[in-house]
Amino acid sequence: MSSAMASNAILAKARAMYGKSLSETDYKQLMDCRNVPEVAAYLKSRTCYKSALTGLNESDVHRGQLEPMLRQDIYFDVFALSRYAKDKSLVFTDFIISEMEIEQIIRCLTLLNIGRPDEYVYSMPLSLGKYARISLDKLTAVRSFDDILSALAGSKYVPVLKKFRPKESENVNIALLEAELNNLNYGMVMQAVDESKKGRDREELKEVISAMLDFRNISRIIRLKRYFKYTGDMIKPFLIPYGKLSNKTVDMLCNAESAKDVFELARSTYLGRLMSKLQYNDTTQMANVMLSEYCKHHLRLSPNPTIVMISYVYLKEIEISNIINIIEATRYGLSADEKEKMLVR
Amino acid sequence: MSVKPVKAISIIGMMDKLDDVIQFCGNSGIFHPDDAISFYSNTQNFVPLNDKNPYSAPLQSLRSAADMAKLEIEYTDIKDFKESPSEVLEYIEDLVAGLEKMVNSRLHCQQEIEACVRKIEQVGHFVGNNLDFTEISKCKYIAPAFGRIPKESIEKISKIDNPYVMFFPCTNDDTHCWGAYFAPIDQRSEIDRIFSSLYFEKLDIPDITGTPEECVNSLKGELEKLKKQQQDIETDIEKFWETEKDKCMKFYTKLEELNTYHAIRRYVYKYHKNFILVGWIPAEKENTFTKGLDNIESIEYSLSDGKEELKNSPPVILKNPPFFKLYEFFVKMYGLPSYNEIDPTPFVALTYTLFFGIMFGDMGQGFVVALVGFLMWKLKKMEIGKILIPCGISGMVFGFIYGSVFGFEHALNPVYKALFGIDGKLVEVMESNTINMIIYGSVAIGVVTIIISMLINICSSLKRRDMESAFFGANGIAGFVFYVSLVAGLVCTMFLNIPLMTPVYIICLIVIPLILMFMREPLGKLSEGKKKWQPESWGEYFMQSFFELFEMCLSYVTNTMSFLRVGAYILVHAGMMLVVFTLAEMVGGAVGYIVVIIIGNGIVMALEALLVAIQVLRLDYYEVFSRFYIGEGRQFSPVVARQREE
Repeated sequence: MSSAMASNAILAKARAMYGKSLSETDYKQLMDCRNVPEVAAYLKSRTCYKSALTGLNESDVHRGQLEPMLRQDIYFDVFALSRYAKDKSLVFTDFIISEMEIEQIIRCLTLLNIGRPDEYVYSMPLSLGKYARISLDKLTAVRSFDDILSALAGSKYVPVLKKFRPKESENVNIALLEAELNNLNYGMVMQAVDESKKGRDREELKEVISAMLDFRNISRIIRLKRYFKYTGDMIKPFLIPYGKLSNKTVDMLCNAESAKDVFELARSTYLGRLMSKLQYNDTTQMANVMLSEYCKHHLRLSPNPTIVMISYVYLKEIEISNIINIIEATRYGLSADEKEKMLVR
Repeated sequence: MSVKPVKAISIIGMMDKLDDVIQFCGNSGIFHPDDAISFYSNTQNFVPLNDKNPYSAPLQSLRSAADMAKLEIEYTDIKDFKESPSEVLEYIEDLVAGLEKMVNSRLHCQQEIEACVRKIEQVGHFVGNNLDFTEISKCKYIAPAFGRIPKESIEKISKIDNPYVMFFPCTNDDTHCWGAYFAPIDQRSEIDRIFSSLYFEKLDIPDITGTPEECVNSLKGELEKLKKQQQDIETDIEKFWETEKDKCMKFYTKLEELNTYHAIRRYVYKYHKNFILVGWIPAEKENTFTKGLDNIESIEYSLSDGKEELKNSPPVILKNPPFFKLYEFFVKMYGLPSYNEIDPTPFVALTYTLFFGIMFGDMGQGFVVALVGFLMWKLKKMEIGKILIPCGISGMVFGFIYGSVFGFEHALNPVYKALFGIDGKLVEVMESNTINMIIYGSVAIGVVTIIISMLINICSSLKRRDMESAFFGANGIAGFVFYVSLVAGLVCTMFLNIPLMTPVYIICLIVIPLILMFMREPLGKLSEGKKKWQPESWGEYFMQSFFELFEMCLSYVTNTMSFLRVGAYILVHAGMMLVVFTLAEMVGGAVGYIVVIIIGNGIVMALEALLVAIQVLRLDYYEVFSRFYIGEGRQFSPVVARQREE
């Protein structure tokens, strides 16, 4: 009883935390900033990112420093919310920790690919190290692919990594590896939902997670079609195989002629009803707008702590991506109107 | 106690007279411009005037420059102002340029001061370390770098496999460690790159020399100079303002007037070489306004009554005596009445004051509420403050009836004895008989309020020629007969033992009105003489009407019961004060007792005033307004230059 009530505290806490997110006025002020230091100064002095950006030197900000600081804020929010979960009710915390670990593994491998693995130490998030189940310290000593296997020995990631062992003088296929590691994580969260939940809770949670994964898949298909002209077979390995859309529909979407066709086909699925209500500037933005609306709806109305927590995290991710877009647009001197078009709200 | 009559005026004239007409309309302060298109049937050749407002940008620049210079610009009298608009623009442009120049110098100086303070703070971290920057910079084989590094990066340094990556800390703050690193000259770029990756920030003081102490002293000297420079700029601004202030105020006022009047041009349409301007004026000012217009040559105008222009939604001016006027605030918050609708302000004023008094009956607390309201109005210019004054007084009146002063329930007993010769109180709220009376009384208040609302709806609907609502609606004559008969029947049967509910009574006064309400849509259309009075599908209509009728009957009960809250708050007040007194007695001692009574009174007063104010407003909005009020009117807002408003 007490643990269930504690989990329910997540509902109030997550909604209260969402209440502190950037307001319309904040976005307007940020878009009106003339340079990046102004954006950083505003974020640091007037928003909920005050504590996350403590110590940031506003006069000399670069994305490489700012983005990890903002992203770490998501993890700290999740850990703050997880304190209220006393039982298995929060499978999502494990998922987020794994997501953070995968991010670190990928960063380490990317540096290995470009021959600068020793630089991993600079970007390693020390403050998150205590939450990780892999040793980030060991990643700092990685100098070869075998080193990374031994650094991660015993973890769930090793079997996947072994499949991607590069041949001599070749690089690791980071894009596919990342997709596969993420799929492993999604698979585990789905399995955890099946094992730890029952009845309506389970169905509701699976429904919400699957819908969110569908949004991600649609977004990926549209991007890969539009920017890389990928064919259906090339796209499939990058998709998450746990959505609500049937395999047949996913095949149709992947094999569509163009991004525009994908968009039109998506309208004929269950997503069409959601899509018709939304406003977006670009088809590539559509999936995120849909995710944002979906999350806002569940954050406000769902009685399920896990769903509320997931919704909060995705909304926070969208907000951070908006901030990064504003920073980049400010750096390249775009007007407030152009910045506005890049935002998902 | 109604909506003031207005007249639509349509002005047509040659284009060269447009500025005169606009100037006159603006100066009159009673002209509400409107879109001419909706007043004419054939508007094919009407071309809107899309000229850009030349005054808004200079006005904005002036305000922003004055704001940045921390100068207050106000409106002044410009009766004798003779300069032309182009002269106004020219002067404002020069003034803004002058102000901006000084403001920019001040801003630049301020930035330098801030940078200097920052440098002092930075170098301060190295004071007391027996360093000499000049000596260190002379080193041939090592390159030093002083600055700060995040504490997290300090931990990472130990993991970096490079013997030259070492950091020598001096001091710490919350997030960073201040100190230096030294790189061999041949490794300098690599070591710099590594420290840069660790977010090391160098001191932003180029050519730093001497000891930290000397450096701080030299920076302090520089800071003093900058402050003096800033003071000089401030003096310059003050002198500039002394000479320009009066002239600037006049030009500013004129510019504001030109900008405001230019807004009228948005409503002007060009028709060949003529212009057409349509607007509204209060009917009582018709003569004054037209006399003024007559003085402008070669223009024609025509007037029409607001009632004849209902399709153009005439703007509304509420006309109420001073006491009722206070409550226009609540009506405006809900929505103004349409031109042909009854203004509910007097009804709101009476019910709000009465209900507030009944629910917040305490002489002492009522006085405090009235006092607070007065202070809110006088000091903060808050509209709600004005409303709280009569409400507080009403609370005092009912407090006298209940015999309650700051919760002291027997404080007025001597007064009653002297005035009415009775030993106890006029009303003993917490007695069981009185509680029943309070509950019945609340319901009776509800019944009366609802009946009055229905009567108002009947009048308002007839005024709007909405026959369906007037005769067959839930708040029309049918609804009125049904509700009154039902209430009268129940009261007579249950309380007065008069067997009023006879079959004839039930059929004539309850069943027939119900049938009329059930058939209200076709009957309404028939009474309005519409040919197509039948619903498209009778089956669908019966189904829909059945549920609507069910909902109506339910709402009669719930709306009446909703007034129980009036009585409930009387009991809540007595109950809460009882708790306060019990707590005070538990604390004990004269001081403790008084402190608890004061704090308790404060809490109860704040809580009850807020709750009662919201609940009464809720009663007015939902139980009363929903019966007769549409509130889709628009406010009469004449074009008025700012100085006239103030």
